Amino acid sequence: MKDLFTNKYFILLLVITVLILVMAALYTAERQSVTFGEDLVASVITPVQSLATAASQTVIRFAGYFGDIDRLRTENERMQNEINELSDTVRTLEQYRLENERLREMLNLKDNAKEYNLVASRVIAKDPGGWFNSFTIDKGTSDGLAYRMPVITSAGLVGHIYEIGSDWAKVITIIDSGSSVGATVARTRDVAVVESDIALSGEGLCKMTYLSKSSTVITGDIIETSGLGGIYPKGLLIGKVREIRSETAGISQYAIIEPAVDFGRISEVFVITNHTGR
Amino acid sequence: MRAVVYIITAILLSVLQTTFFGHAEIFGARPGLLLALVVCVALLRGSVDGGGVGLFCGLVTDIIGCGTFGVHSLMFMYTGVLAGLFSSKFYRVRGIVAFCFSLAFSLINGFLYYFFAHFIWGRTQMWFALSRKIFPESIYTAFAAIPILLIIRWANRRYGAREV
Repeated sequence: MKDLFTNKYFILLLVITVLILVMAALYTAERQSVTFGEDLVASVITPVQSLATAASQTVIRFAGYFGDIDRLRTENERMQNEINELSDTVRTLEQYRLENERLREMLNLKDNAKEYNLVASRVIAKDPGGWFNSFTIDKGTSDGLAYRMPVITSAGLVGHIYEIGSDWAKVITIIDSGSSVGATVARTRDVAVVESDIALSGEGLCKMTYLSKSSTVITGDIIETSGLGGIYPKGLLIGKVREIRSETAGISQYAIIEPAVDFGRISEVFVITNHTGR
Repeated sequence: MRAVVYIITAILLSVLQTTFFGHAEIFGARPGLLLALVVCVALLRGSVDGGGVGLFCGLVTDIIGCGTFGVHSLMFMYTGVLAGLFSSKFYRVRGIVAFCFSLAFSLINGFLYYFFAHFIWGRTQMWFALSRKIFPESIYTAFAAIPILLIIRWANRRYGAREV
């Protein structure tokens, strides 16, 4: 035993362990900027990841080409039927739009649609472990991005920036098990929180919790950000309700949400630069 | 020179893991290439090299990944040290040995990570974590260890390193 404590490798192991624990304690708190060392390492790896991602996508696209033919044929038939249904819907909606315009003019309402400044960026790497739903993008502070800026795609909300360097940023998605987003049901205006857990994030889903038992939310309802919580602006599309379940205690219910964004296939995102989360 | 080969291999594997294998998941799992590297180096070269490579690979994972800084550094370093203790038990480290040790250490690492990052915080879907994350990832990692063992063995021969 005495030999063990005088062994130089054992002492070195203990010193490194203590050093890492001290660094972990220092860096666990939320940080708005990374250290020079972290930025340097990430800046060296980022261009390599960028090239490797481009090469990987080319290989995977080529490999998937033949398998895609059958799938495309079926999808084409389904989409043809969908076009027919949508054409009817468009005609109905056009009538509603005209009616809406007329009513707005009558009420003299101002358009409250927000204008977002967007910076497009490419996804260059995913988290090395399988436990987090996060990824790295190829833009950073030098492109005007900042900590906690919301990230979206044309489909809807993706997440926010949680770590940023000069020419890279890490984005944590809304399906990460540690994530929570202030949300509202578009139809009923019920306010709740969209969060995820290990099982749901594996299927690309998340859940809307703290819904009161009296809430009239139904399958198919559209869920968007409420603006509460400070990170995300109001009105960003999160997804739609797939299923409603009761909590074990029975005093509230929760909804399984199918995000509008397909997190398995994100390759390009937009960062909203004129809204910095608090 | 051997250290340089290990460092370059670690960086290349980390890039592969975050890019190609990020798109080539099997049952939602990605192999822990860096963990497999640590186990292979430790089995071939012992605890000191294993611990050193483990520390480096862990730091790289902590920097490019998400989560609490230092978790992977400690886990990978101790994996290297512990796997290295078995290095002298084998006359020759074959693929099957690397496979079994990578599987075992990946299971231990996965379970520890789940316990400290999820279970103690109340996210207790243990069966899901085991069946959909830890087991598939460990098996994938174990298979990845075989070609990685060949690379490390080649590097050791090329640069005259004595295998324990």
